[in-house]
Amino acid sequence: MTARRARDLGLLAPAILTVAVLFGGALAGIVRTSLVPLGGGASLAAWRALLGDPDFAAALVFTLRVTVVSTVLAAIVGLVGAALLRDRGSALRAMLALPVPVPHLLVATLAVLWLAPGGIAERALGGLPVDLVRDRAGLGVTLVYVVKEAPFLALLVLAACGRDLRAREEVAAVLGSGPWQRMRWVTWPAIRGPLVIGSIIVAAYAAGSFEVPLAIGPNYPPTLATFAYEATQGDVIAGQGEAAAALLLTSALSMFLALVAVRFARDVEGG
Amino acid sequence: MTVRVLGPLVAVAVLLGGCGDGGRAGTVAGRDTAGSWERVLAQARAQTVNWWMYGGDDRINAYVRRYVKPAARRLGVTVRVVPVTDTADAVGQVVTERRAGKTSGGSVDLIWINGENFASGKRAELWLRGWAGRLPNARYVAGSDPSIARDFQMPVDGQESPWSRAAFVYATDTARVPDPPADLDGLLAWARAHPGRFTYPAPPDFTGSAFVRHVVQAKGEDAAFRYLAALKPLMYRHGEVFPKSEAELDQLFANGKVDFAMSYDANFVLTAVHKGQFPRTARPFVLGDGTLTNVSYVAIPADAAHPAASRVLANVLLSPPLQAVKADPAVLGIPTVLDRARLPAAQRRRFEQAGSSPYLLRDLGRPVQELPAGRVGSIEARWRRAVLRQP
Repeated sequence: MTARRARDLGLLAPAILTVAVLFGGALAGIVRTSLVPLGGGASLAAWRALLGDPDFAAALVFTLRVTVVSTVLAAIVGLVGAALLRDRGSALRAMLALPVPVPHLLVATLAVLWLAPGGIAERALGGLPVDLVRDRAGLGVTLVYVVKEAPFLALLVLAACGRDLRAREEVAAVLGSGPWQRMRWVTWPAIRGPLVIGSIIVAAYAAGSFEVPLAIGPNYPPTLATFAYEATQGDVIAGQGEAAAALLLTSALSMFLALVAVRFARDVEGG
Repeated sequence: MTVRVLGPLVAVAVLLGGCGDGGRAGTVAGRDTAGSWERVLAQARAQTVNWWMYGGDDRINAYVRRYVKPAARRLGVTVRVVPVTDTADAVGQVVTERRAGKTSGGSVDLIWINGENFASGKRAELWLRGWAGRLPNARYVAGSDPSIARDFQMPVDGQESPWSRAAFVYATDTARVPDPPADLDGLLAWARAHPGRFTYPAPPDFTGSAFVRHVVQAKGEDAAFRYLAALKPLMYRHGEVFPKSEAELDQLFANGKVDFAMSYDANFVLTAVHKGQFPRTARPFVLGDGTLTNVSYVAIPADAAHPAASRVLANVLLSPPLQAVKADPAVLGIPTVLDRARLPAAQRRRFEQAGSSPYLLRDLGRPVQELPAGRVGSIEARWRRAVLRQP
């Protein structure tokens, strides 16, 4: 058993080493920036400034809310999309895949172009019922994430819904299970893995993304990433330490969300 | 005179100027000798300057491409512009390299800079010292002029060389607002009569921060924040939403969503009308009897990889022919940093020949000096607290 484990680790070593050097190195650099101001001498000043800043607390709450709402909505829309497209041809699936490689910044810019006051939609319709650009609730940011991420999640789910799953569902039906039971015991266990892993990616992205809130998000509150950006713009020297501390907490938040998601996936499997 | 004709003339003049400069520098600059500038020129030959500059102004980019780059190339210096959305990004790069322990070979050779960015860098000893006054063309600059010797009231100390002048101006469409407000109180009264038709970019955006500083300069800090709080509910979307940049404000103004635009670039109306973004009836104006002005400079990081070529470029930027082209409304219409009285008669005539335009103000009124750089950050923080966060 240990020999097999050692072999597995050996096989994984190149990947682990790459991640450790690239991300570990960068993380160590950020930790240092947050602790050592320019000119030397370790200090907790940046962390103290960050944690005492009411804007940071507002940014944390806002980021969490946008992340959770966007991810849950994207997962729901993605699941519904996958269910509708499961038995359709490849042309429709290809269309579904179209938004996936489009950069987030492009989608956000297009959204501003269309939905901003004085934008294309308002000129065509004479007025929009809700404000989506720079609105305090972050509706515009959420909308961009859902538009971008729902197709990605739908594709992941569809990839798990192969012929094999169809056969198992048919077996379950022959054995007398109802639609709900088939969903609960056959379909859901097959799609849960890709859905959870995809959602972790979506949540980590939404928590750390910087360009979407900057392009379409509110002036206030900022997200953690825009908070960090504004810290470096406001004070070029001391701001870097505060920005580094904020981004470290953002990374910690993403990792925490990932752990919760993995845990959640395991519970469903066990239950 | 058209731009096309001017181009080659400028090139020749810069070349001639460059030749003459070496000979006279020793007597005028005092501390420097002709030989050392020759050495700088020799070192700079075949070098590439990585010039980090704000890249959001098409006309300035075109000026750099058509006039600055060819003039530098004739001295053997290649200019590679690294466009940034905010000068703080360039300073951030220098800080990051300094943190990493780099003392030479840095990726930033020259930064277009002023104010807070320069001041923080100066405090952190990021800049090369004592070079700006020794440039041959520095003899045309009135070093004693406080608007040049102090940058946001921080002494320049030869760590940056002047390049450009800016004045804070407002714009309106005279077809919609034939009689724009004369001062800040007039603006507030106007906003009461026309709610939702005025806004300004949210600080720390450069333009929005300047608007807030203009109010602070005119009224004193506490009264200014009372004024801004009173203005907020009368603003576009009840002051709950601010544009994030000058470009966004321009867009709102061009789309007729608000009635005023503003910029720290005295020729921005000219630029926008040329682009077709603003209507031909748009006109610049100033609020009050004076306007916020500043000078912007170029600074060389102490760890720059090509400091000699950076100095040559800084000298090219100060050359009378290039400054004259820049002051011409047909090209840019940006006031020169040179002291015309110090120019030879032939050079002075070039500035006098520059035409006029209805999109440029002839008289900007009393120049109002900028606040000390150190106060900018605290005013922006107070604005976030007292205006932005208030419901």
